[in-house]
Amino acid sequence: MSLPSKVLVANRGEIAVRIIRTLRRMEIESVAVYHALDADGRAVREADEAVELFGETPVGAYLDSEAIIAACAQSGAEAVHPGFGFLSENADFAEALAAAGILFIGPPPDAMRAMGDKIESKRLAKAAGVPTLPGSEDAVADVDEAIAVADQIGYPVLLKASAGGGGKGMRTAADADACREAFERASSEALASFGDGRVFVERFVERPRHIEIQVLADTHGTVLHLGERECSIQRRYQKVIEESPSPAVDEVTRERIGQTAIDLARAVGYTSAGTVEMIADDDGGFYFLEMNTRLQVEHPVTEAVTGIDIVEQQVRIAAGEPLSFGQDDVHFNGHAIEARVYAEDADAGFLPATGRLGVVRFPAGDGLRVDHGVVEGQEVTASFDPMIAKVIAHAATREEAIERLRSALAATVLLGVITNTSYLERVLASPRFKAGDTHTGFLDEHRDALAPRALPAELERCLVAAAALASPRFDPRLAAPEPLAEMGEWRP
Amino acid sequence: MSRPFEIGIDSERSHAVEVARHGDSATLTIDGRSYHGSLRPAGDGYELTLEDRTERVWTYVSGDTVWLHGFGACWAMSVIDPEKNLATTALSGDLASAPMPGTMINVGVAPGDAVAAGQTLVVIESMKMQSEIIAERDGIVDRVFVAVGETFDRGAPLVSLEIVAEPEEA
Repeated sequence: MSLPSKVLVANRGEIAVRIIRTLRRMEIESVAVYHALDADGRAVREADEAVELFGETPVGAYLDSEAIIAACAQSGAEAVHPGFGFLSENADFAEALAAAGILFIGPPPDAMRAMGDKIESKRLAKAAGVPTLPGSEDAVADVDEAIAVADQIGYPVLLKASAGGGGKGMRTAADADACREAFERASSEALASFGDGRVFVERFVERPRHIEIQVLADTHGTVLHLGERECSIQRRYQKVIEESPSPAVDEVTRERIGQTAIDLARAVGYTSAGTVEMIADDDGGFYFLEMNTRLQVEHPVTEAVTGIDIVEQQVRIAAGEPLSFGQDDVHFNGHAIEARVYAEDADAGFLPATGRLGVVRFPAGDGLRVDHGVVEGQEVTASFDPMIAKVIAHAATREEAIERLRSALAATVLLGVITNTSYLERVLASPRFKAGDTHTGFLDEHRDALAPRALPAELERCLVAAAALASPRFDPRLAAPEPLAEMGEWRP
Repeated sequence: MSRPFEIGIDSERSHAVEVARHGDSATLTIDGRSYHGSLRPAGDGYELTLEDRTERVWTYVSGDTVWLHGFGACWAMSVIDPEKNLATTALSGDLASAPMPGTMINVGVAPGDAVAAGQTLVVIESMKMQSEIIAERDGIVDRVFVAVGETFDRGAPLVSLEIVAEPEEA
């Protein structure tokens, strides 16, 4: 089987751009699809051709599998890379592509389905020998069963919706009374959010680290791991800073948890790139959380330390090529950290921000990678995910990677929309982060320490002076009151 | 003499500022004290000088917001006209505006409808969460600004109520 000569990228923004770049390097033609809001976007500019999608909502356009299959027919694309989000974990979409004779660059639909349900995937992980947290085997039937299970495994416990995600339908309980209330709330929230009120119980790990293993599996029976990523720095259950390796994982542990991830991938007949997510407790225990059957947002840190282009491997695996290297050929070099730049006001509860990006300048340099999908003049709207860019620093040591990433964030110019660049820089600079003392509650626990520092008076004066000199309001030549309202994009 | 404009940083502190230009430099009066400064093109950005301090900056002016990158961070500064600000303060409750950017999910009222304080006017979705926007007072709906499916920015007007004339006597 040979590589496809043309691939359609069923995504948008930075990940579409990133996939298109690998395709170009592999001398494969790329097709972008886009909603009208993204017509002037970077993905459309960089792709060899582009097909417009229409939808009732902008997100709906990218979820329209029939339109995407039609776009393949129209453009002659032989394969689809789904990126992440949108249709990337939709087994029906993968099957519809196969029925149309189009290659899906991702895992087999059965593996996607098996890993899509939290209870079923935990059962499969346990059967494959992956450590799982003690808890109910299945959804608990009622509040009495929930308490019985909790009493047996010991408190605190976590009640989790089987269909859950993003922290919805999730409650902790420290004793039986709290468990009673937590069960009612978790199941009613799950029913309201997902139309599925099934809840299961498991032991709650306090101050856990989020650690995940990248795996690659080809269609010839080779399954490898590319080491771990730690993604404990999260807000509202969404990752903000990710790194590889984890400061909490040594070589022996890496081999051990890497092997369990490989075992699980084999057990479900997995192929392509996938990620086994685990939580780690203070005592060196690692427990299965879930398997993501797609490329992850934070894959660049693994690419930085291994030198392996994961998207390229996905394309080759989908085309039936065997992996050209073995586990012993995978080496981990230095330390990489990624920061996700979001259009949001981190100091106001991470409220999403919108506006027009009037000036965009990203830093460049040795050991620095910026994946972004924005162009100057672009509107950042509430229609899509608020991630603007990923800034990734790679260096010999964790300390150097932290400093390199801090400098890069300080040099990132995004004017016209509030972003979290300064907040990310403060997180990286905090002593607890530098010490590697991270857990998933880190940002909440250190909220006060991460608040903006008071500005020195001289610096504040400089900023005020610059604003006054830049604003047409202070220019007597432009003092006529009415036209000011029309002067939206005026630059000095 | 009109009151000087004010400039606020990240909507916290504000400073009274006046600018007297001479050539490409200026005397700035900030909170009553004078400073010598300039903002000159340099590379694809600008060079700010204030007294003996110089810094490379990028700026972007959007209406009365001045965005600036310098000193290792991005800043949003607001130019405030103290007189205009006083003049346009709306009567609270006349206008329901968006607390955050989002998408309109449901519009429960139409112009001319009578609504009671606490009644749901519209339902919006932001950050994958739905929120109800409720009427702050009793009144008659004047306008609905956003249709179902449309998106809006933070602070965008959503629903206005007819202005009620102040009662003549208490």
